[in-house]
Amino acid sequence: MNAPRLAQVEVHDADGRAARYVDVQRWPLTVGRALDNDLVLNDPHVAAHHARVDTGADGTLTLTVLDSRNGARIEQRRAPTLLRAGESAPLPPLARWRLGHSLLLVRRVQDMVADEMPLAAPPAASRSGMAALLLAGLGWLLASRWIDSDPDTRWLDHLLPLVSVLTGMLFWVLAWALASKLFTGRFVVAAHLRIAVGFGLAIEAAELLLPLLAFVADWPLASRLRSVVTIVIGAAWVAQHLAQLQPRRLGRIRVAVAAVTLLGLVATTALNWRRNDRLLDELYAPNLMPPSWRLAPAQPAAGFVLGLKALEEPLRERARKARSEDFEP
Amino acid sequence: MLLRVAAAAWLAAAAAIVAAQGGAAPGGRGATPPAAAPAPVSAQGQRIYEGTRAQLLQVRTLLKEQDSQASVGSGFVVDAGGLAITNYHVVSQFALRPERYRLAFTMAQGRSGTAELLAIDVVHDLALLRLRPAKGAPAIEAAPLAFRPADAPLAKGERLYALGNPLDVGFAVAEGVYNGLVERSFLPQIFFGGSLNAGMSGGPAVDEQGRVIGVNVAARRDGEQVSFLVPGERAQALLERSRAAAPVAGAMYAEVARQLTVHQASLVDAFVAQPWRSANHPRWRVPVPQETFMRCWGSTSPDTRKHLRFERSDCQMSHAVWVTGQLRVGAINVVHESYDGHRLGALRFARVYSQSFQNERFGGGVHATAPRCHEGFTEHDGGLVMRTVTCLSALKRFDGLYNLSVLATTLDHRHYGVQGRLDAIGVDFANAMRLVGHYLQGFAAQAADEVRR
Repeated sequence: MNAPRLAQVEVHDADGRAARYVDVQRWPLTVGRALDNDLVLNDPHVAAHHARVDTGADGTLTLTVLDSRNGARIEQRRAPTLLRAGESAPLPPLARWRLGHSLLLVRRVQDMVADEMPLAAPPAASRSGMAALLLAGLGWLLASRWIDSDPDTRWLDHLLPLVSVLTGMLFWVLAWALASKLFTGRFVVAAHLRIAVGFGLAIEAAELLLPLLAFVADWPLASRLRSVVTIVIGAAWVAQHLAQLQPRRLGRIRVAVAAVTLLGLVATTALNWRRNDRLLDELYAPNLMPPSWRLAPAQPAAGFVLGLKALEEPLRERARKARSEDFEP
Repeated sequence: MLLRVAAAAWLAAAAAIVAAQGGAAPGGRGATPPAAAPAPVSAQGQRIYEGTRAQLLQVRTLLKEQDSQASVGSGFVVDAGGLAITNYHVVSQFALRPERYRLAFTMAQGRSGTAELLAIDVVHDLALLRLRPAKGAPAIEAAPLAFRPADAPLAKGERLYALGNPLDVGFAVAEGVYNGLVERSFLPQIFFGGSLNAGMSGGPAVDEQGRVIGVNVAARRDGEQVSFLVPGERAQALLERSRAAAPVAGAMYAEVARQLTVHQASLVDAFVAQPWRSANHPRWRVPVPQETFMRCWGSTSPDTRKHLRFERSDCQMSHAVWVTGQLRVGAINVVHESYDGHRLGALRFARVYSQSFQNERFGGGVHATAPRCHEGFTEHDGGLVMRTVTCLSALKRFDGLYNLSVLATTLDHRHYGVQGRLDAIGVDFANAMRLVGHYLQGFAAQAADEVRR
């Protein structure tokens, strides 16, 4: 006849998912590598008799480290509590704690169970959203193919570029789905497809709208910023895929991707400044639209020529600097 | 621009004929002596060589610390006191970096020594040297070569003899004929119908009486026996001007910049004074320069490109001022392409028109700073609106001189357009602005209902 279950210990794997469940029928619970422990951990960094968990009169748990070289570590919200051999500390409810490379968690009978989480599967409404997104992507592809081609191009000539773009997209999504399988155990296609098509369209939109703005409003900076905006959207795109793999580490992923992107942007702008004497690569707004789209007024040619004057001093200064820096004295 | 390659490949400018290691020497085809020349002519050549060999010399630019030669050219004595004329490009390394190089000479008769640089004329590619014979050697007392007087002009076809030391092989005389001045050249140059080879730069070209007509300076690599001489009066003027000058001590960047500034002023004055020619376009007045000192080439879209038709006009100055191995200045080029995209439709035409507009380079090279641009919509005569981009870069070592590029693109029809580009290399800022104004004034819309579809 089994004693009643007082608690359950979860042994987590490297991804933070419970790999083993061990019932606790009496306190104290001893943990270690030796087979006479209540919970046996096959972890080379765990001592033969590593730790003991006791319960107090009020039901609180206490972790005590026995004869161990590595001690224990209780993960807390702020800073972890580190215990060495002979030390003990209270174990907060549902706190994770670590012995060697093993991550453990004690769930007592009286501990609250978290609310039921809804299934992640997309509801019917977002299925039509997905269809709209895919249609938009396909429409965009066809439109840009059309505009890039001569009027009497045969449909067969469009086929190969279309197929290659679609294949590229497919492989991209499949690669992320495989990564999902690796990290979360589920082969997620729909979410990655939505991310890929959505962000791909966002980049295309930026590539269209910024030059358009530059032309319509005579605001060349918009066109010049295109490269930066594209990189930022691209970074958000990758971050979103990564978030699918590690939903619990969203904050860290965002910070890491943002940091890498920022570093890349700073490096390229600095290099541009050094090489080309300007922060952004583009020298002038290169896109011309149909003339009727222009809203900005034109200035008299003579006034435009006067505007050149502002270039003289910076160029002269730059040449002076080059004279002293680029050549042997 | 959709077409990148100039219509005429020969626009590769005439190459200066200084011999240097690594084949900077352009005319390396090998001398082509007149095959089986009749006996009297050979005798004449022999007489000419005998009469001038005492004044003929090889000018060598050596590394200061060792005796290796960086480049070799030729020269000739023009004054009993040991003054000699050569090309600026023969001694330019010394003129710009005297701390690295030194000049030496060897005479056809075997005498040698060091040379001092007294003065340069960058624009006409001339330099004046003072010869210092080696210690113990007798002073140079050869009677100088005389210049042919200006009141005795040559006739086309008269025989000339160019002298020098081609490719450092040995002193030589090359026969050819006088073909008048090079047509449509801003700077005067004599068209010499004979072979000049690298290493002969700076040597004299003389008439049958042994009087100097010009100074060997360049040859066309893409032709046969098309060579150029600096007119003798330019060398004479430099001699008179700087006969008593002190030897140059420091790098001559400031002096080169001064001479180039004077030159660009006269070039831009002459250019701006000319009215534009018409491109005969039905919709627009498009500025095309006069061909007084430029050559214009036309080309059209290949017949495989049936949906977008375009025509191109490419006007270039074939001669620019040689400043260093990587820098030629004082040239103005004007190009335009006119497009007919009515078979493409507005959106597709805008796409192709954009591609052509962005397919432009503004190369500063090592000698110029990175370009800076000024852009906007500009309004022209007849209500024409254009997108105009003007980019300038400054020449790093020649203070006050700039490279200018102007792109001007018509924006008043959804199916038709003209894109023009003007480039000027080595102009001062005020002249750059003048050129931009002059160029933009050349564009206008003109009534042309027949094209509207």
